[in-house]
Amino acid sequence: MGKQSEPIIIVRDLHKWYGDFHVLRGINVEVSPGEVVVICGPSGSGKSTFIRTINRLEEHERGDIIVDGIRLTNDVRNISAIRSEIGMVFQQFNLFPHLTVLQNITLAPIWVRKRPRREAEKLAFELLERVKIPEQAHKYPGQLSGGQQQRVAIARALAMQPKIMLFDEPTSALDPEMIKEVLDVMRELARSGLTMLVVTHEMGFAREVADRIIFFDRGEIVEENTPDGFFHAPKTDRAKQFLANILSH
Amino acid sequence: MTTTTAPTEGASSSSVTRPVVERGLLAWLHQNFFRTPFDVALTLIVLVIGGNLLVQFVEWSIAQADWTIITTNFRILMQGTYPAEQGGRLGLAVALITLIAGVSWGIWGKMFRATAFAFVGGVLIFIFVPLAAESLAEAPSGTFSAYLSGQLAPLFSLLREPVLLLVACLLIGYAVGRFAKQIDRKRAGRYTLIAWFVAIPVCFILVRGFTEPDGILPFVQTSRWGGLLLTFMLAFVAIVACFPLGILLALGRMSSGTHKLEFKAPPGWWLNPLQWLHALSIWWRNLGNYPIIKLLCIIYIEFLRGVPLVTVFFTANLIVPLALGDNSIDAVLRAMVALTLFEAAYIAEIVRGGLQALPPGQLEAAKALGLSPVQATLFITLPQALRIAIPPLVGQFITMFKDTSLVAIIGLTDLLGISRSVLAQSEFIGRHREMYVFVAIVYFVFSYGMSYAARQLERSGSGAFRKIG
Repeated sequence: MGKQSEPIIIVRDLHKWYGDFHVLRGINVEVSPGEVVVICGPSGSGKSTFIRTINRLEEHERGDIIVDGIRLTNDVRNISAIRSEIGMVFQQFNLFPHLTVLQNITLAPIWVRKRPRREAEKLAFELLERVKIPEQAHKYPGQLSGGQQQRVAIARALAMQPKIMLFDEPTSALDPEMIKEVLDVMRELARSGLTMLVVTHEMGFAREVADRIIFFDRGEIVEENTPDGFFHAPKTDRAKQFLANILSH
Repeated sequence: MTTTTAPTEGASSSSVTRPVVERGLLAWLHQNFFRTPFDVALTLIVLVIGGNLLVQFVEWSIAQADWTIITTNFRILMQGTYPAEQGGRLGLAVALITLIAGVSWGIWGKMFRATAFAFVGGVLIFIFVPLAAESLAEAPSGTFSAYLSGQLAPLFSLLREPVLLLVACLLIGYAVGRFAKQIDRKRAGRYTLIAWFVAIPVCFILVRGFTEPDGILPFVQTSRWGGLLLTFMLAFVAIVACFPLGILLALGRMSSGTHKLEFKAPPGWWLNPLQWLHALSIWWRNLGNYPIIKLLCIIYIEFLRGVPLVTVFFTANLIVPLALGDNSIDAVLRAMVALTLFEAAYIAEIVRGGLQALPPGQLEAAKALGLSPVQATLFITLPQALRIAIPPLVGQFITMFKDTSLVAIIGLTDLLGISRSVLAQSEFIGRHREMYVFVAIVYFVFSYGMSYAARQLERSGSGAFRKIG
């Protein structure tokens, strides 16, 4: 409790290649518990790849990632220990279409955390309440709108009671009128003190919710700043250019 | 006629009317067969050729064909030389399956109803046609009625009682299913599934038997299985056995094939039993990731897909006893093993196709939730992949059912094999057409039945499921 300053995620000199393409070139980041970090940058800058290395959906080739005191290696035990501490929300939702909303949410708690079914279902209903769609519990994902599906995906990740949540462009596949309902849920999560890493192009959300903004370009962290500093007085030319591009359209 | 709210909308809605679609048989015929002069010509040509063929066939089957080859050999065509006094066991097995089919119909109506109706409809023809035929038995010879009574009636009367029994089983099963569904739908469904899985080995034991000749279920040597019974047993066992084997092969071929864990052996590790255990545990956790397993699966699949089934039968029949040095392995068992091993390679490729059709995000989401590779496969990827693969899987099962006819080449008397030995008898010489028409009809009825049931199974998926976003 008292060790608020101890970082929950430590990334040191992280490198990754896709074939000959050097996607991540020496990333150094520390994230404290409860911090909300927004990662932005032009497409192809490696920001999605970076957050996917944190729960090892992508393997890194050099450097260290230490999550909650566990160093990510090839050891299967470490990987599954870390994955159950980290929730992830994807751009394409990736709900399981053959399972109901309730089954989507309770699957991992029952089989990974070994919770009794009744307890897992109780938690699932609480979470559905929290994302404001308790009435959809027995439907299949295909019967829900995009915004509802993404909220179910958030509830599914939360059901593992993770210490960290990763969001990989959670609103990019949504119709404009549905973006708000997802961002509202994320705002509420950020206020609850969860550690969050969010890759997003929603600059309004970043300005309002983030504790820190990390700007990626060409596989490197070009700028780390407070939201105020980043939006009003970016330190680097590349960040200025990026902001000019996305804010002018 | 219509009240309009806005003038512009009103104008457009009154000027644009939905085109009238003609309905009825004549309109349908016109739309599909007689629309243009070319259509008319095509339709007439097909009608003339097809009609001529049909008339000739009917003429032949009534006036020239002598169906006594079927009616006198009916039992042997169905059961081979299965001891007649034990025939009731086969009836019991069929009745058991029919009963469970009836229960399934009662519970999952939608999926089984059509199949069950087709079945009942089919057997009703077998009952009512011969009844009518008997009442016309006095009709003068040379007429259609005489043909019916003289040639078909014996066959139908042979079938009538078993068929009545089966209809009774089906309806009783249906009633039970409906009743059980009303009490507890979920549990009824689960027990019925279990019943199916139990029924398969039970039927096998019923047919095969295991006791001394004077016991309750005397052992019947597989060399006495024949006809449709043998065809069914071969297809049934091979389908049930090749399916899991094919899934394992598909998963083996889809495995990443790279070592995830390295065993870093300290010097002198072989002296320390704890290090052995460590090495063993690493081997176990790497099991899905050995390139050698992937390679073996690829070799197996590609090799068996590259040779004809007949050669596999010959290998099983000739080389295996030679290699093992004794001839004691049952010929039917050898055929079952050969068919299973051969078809598993095809099933593997179909399942692999289903697995590859899934969006990669499904596996990523499963991993991100912390599911182990085995859990992710069992709960997430495999169920979806099998669903996608239903149509080609059923196609392969139908092919398999028909492929069993190749065992005639290695001397087994399945439906085709036994029909050839019947034809070899001097009293039935020259009756090839009748025999092969009958055999073709039997194969068609069961193949089409499978294909029809599979279409119902595909449709039974809720609309929601198919809308994978």
